[in-house]
Amino acid sequence: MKALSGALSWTGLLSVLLATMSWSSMVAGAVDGATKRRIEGVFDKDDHTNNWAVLVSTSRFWFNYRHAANTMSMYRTVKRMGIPDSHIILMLADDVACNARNSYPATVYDHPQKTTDLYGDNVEVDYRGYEVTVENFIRLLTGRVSADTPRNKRLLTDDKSNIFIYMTGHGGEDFLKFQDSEEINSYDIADAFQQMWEKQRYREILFVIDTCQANTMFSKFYSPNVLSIGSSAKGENSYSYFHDYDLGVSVIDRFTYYNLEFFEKVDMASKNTMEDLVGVYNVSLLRSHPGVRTDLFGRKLSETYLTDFFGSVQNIELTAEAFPIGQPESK
Amino acid sequence: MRTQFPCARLTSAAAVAAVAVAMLVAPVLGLDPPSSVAAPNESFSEDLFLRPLADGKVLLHFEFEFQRRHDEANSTQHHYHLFPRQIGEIALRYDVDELHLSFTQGNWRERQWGYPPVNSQGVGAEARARIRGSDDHIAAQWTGLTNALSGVFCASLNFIDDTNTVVPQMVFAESQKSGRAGVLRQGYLPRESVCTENLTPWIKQLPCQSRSGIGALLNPHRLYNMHFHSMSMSLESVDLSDSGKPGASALRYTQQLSVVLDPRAFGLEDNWSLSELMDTHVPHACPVADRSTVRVLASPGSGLDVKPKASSKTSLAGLDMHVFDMLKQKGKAPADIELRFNTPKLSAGSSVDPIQPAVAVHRFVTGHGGSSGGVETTLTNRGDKPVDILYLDSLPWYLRLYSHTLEITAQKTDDGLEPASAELGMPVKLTPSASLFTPAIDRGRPATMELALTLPAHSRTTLRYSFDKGFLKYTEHPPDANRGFNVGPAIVSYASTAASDQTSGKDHGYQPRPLACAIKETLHGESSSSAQCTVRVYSELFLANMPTPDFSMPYNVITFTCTILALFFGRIFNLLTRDFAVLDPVKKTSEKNEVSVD
Repeated sequence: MKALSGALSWTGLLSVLLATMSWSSMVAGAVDGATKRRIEGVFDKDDHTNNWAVLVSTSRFWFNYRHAANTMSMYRTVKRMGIPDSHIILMLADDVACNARNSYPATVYDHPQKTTDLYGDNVEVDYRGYEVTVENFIRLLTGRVSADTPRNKRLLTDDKSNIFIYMTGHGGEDFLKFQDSEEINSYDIADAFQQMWEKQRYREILFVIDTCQANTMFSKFYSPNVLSIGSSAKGENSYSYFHDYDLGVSVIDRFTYYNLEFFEKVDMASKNTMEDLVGVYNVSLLRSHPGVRTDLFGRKLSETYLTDFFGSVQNIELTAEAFPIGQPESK
Repeated sequence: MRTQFPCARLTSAAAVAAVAVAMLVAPVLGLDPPSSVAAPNESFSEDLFLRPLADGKVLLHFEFEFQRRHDEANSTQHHYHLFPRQIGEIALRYDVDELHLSFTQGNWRERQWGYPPVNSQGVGAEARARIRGSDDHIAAQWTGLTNALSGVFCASLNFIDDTNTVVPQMVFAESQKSGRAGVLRQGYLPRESVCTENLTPWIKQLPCQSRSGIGALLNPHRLYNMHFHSMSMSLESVDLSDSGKPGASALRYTQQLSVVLDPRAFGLEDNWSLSELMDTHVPHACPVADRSTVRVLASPGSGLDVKPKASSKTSLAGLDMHVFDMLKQKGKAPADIELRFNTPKLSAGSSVDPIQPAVAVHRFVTGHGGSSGGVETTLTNRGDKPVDILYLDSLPWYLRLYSHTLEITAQKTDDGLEPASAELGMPVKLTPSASLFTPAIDRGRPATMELALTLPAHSRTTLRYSFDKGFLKYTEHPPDANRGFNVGPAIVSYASTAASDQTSGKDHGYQPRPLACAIKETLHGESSSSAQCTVRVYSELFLANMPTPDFSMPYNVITFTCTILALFFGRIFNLLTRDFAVLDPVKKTSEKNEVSVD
């Protein structure tokens, strides 16, 4: 072992470690071929490496409290399952928690008993108020944001990202209303997804939508690797669930409530699959027929873990051998 | 072997593992571990001022201050230890000399509550920055700065553009010290709300966040259940005269949060403690703070018992100040501060603060209808001496301000409120000693009016002007168009001196002083007589109701036109262009007979 003179900074320590590694690999000879193939196999593995979530509530006004509560339920779920705030884009069209009409300020509840505060103490809303528009949503998805847009308002995905996109609000056949003044239709979202596919901005997308006639919103998708779940079929409404007499509004929608109830029993180490989630939907309780579209999705629902979309699981390969990260240029 | 680690857990586990490895490996290789004490050129202090108000509510003012000396030797390396790196890098990147950002909700009721603890009480979001460079450069940097701040504080500050940016020349000029270049820009968003998502990144900038120290008292469920809330941050360069080196400068970053809470809303009556009020545990001092205090301000003779015994008892702006030094409680269980009110319960809203602010501003919109209106501002000077004020008012471009309709009249009053009686004299027309009008450009910039006025002693000055409502394109209306547009406040600024603060003509036995000035002086160890402090008073907002178009008209026109085309155009076209000929029935039967004969 060479004697090393003390360097007084961490960069020194790092360079020392790298030197030690490369020195020991030189002494040990070439890395074993099988190990090299195994380690390289990790990089070639066809699996996602990062998870993103885009959660959108498109409704304005106090009486649409439940749409903000829906989105906050998904936010809570996704954070509990491990996706950090830096990988969540939360879009709330109106401020419901600190609204002057809210007799419980800084809270959003999903149940009249007010057992769970969905807003909590640690929430980061990326697009709020008037910023939640169709144009901003499509720009976010396709990445065509203005140069000044800060990092937390950009969807910085790559070709190995799994994205969970959740939308809620008032909708109809092939459209979703944004802020009571404009609409996005299913063709727009389908084209945005196709642009994302062409620019390699996702590996798989889970698209969940809770609006009236939600299943029509994903009927026009044509890009690969998109799994869609909607709360109601064409011609059906999606219904709200609890009415809170303190707040004076309905606090959650049925579809999202049953999703939340399922996820409250699940944690980030869960091996549950998407089939378990879809199996929970009960048509008589939901009062609508939720739809699942799997023809564009490459895998079977029973083989797709919940944490593939809702969690942020890192696959780690542990090895005791040294592996050269890059060969130094020999001049 | 394939292991699955959740992302969130990996970071903290990895950090612990990395530190452990470093600690073990470093001595072996003969390296020193990195320094774990605070960098000598940075300091942090935290203070909480608690003041029960005259109408039974409570004012809490949190103040967190970072100071970072400029390291001349190391000016290219920017190593941040306690100072939040986000803010340092934003200031560096956008050539910012001075930055101020505040989020406020609720009106400051100056009659009941006295002087506010902060200088910006304007509802909504206010961003002010002094940027160096040429005009084009400043415009680009301003856009970049507002976008960057919107990302940091989770607010829609990116809506600040030319139509709501004002370049005040007179009002904020006192901060333009000699040698400091840069143009001050102020962007105002009166409709911006403030909620937990703004508090979350603000708390994350504190070194101890909400885990220990005064920051542990920041419970959003209490902070937003309030009558007034103002959360601000300001960044400025200060000259340190006590550093031993003449002209040594430092960067000071101050985070302030002021709230007015009503303990009765939380079920607390005459006897409550700080942890009960904020619904948190009693905090220890933040370990990296140089100073960590809780100060209770009580009006003398108000019958307030404060337990436990304070570390020191002094006075601040005429109020008794009980100082609790949290750093002295290291190693012991921190003591909860209890307040007991011995005076009978006060009915809400009936009481008035004994120290009324010297200058008060209230602004209202007048007129009715969708074509025109007016603005009326009442400036009250309760002081014994005339006060020189600077008045800044701006209207968005669609409220077309007529500067020739500006009228300023002053009326002497008994205490600034009572209607004038005959012996007080007739209203007097006031002329501003300096005025600066910047007319609006449609969709380009707002109209700005800056006036320098001298308000007579014990008077109420009324400032009136008219405006016409312009016409907005239907795409320029917000989604909730029927609400109208919030219009930002008028700002009055004046220098607070001993003479100007005297308000009742009689000697109280103490020197009334604006609370914001007093707090600043006591925290920085300046004496009140020498320092001149600028006080700013913000008026209320108003809602301008613009005539809204019928947003369903484009749909109506399309449907109507298509119906006409489909149903009527075809038929009319056929009627007009087809030629109708009558067939002769007789000729036809004879032809038929001829055929059948064969």
